[in-house]
Amino acid sequence: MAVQLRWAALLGVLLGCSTKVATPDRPRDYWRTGNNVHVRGPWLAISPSRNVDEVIDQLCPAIMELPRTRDRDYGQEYCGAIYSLGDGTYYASMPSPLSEPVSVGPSTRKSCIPPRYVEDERGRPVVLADFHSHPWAPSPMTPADRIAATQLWSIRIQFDRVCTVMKLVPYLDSSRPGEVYVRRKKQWKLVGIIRPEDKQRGLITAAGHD
Amino acid sequence: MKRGLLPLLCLLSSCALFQQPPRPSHASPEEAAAVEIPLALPLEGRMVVGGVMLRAMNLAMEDYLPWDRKVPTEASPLQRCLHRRESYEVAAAPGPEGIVFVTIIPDASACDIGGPPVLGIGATYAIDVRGWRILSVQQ
Repeated sequence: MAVQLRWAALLGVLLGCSTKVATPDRPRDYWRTGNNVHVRGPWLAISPSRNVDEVIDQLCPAIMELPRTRDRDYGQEYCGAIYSLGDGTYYASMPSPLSEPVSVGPSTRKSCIPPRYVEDERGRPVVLADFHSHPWAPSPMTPADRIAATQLWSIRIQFDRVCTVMKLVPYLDSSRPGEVYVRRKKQWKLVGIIRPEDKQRGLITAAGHD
Repeated sequence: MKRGLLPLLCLLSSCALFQQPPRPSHASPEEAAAVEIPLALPLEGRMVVGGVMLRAMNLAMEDYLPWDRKVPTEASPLQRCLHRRESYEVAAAPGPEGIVFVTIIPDASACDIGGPPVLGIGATYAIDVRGWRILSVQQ
């Protein structure tokens, strides 16, 4: 009887685990080659959409279900990408916790590395944006999130532990100022610009004060 | 004799907990003699930083990279670079009365923070320049 109970308990645990889908702990959802992080897509927790903002709006609640995403100084950040397969539909990649150990600053958080490559067996991904989380709130984009040297794609999305979502459009290859937005009530509100001469340092000037 | 040794050992070990920040080292007189300090500072690159701003920046940097912060033994070149204060730029501006905001920005020309892109470096401080305290840190 005791043996049967143990088997039932084990079965329960296994079933419980199997219902938890789409978390990034399966092997090879993300990996690293040299300086580059690769992520696999799509992330099934995020519904694809032809409207990229609908994809963005799903990211924070899904990421915050992952381990240690809200643990402030001891938190883990996750990075991923938003991409299309050339058909006008946007997908989110699996999130990656891969990080570079750099213990500077007042916290011991684990920053993540934004992915440079997305692998999707259905086609050739075209990456539009990267995204990443912060384990505190309020916690907008850091200086390193904004400087030119860390920008990989046309857009960077960042959110904190209470899901305040920010968007940076760096316009690195243009004389146009970079733009910084905050998502409020399903709308993007321009809160700052990055003047061309400030792009290297990512210094924000309040919108309307340029 | 043994009874006196124990308090002495305790005293010595506790002294190690109260280290003073190192004083700047000076060059030898020979080396100093070879340097000529001009009457007028060169115009190119000349800058003036107000004392309040300077102290606010210093206070923020002292928190961000304390003088006694040790570089981990197996640190990567990037990590070693980011442990040097000269690897950062600092922007500062006065805020509401009695507050100065200080942003510490990693200098990509000093450390290769683009390969791989390292996020989460740098911070912005709100410094109380009356009580000389850190009011808040955003990172």
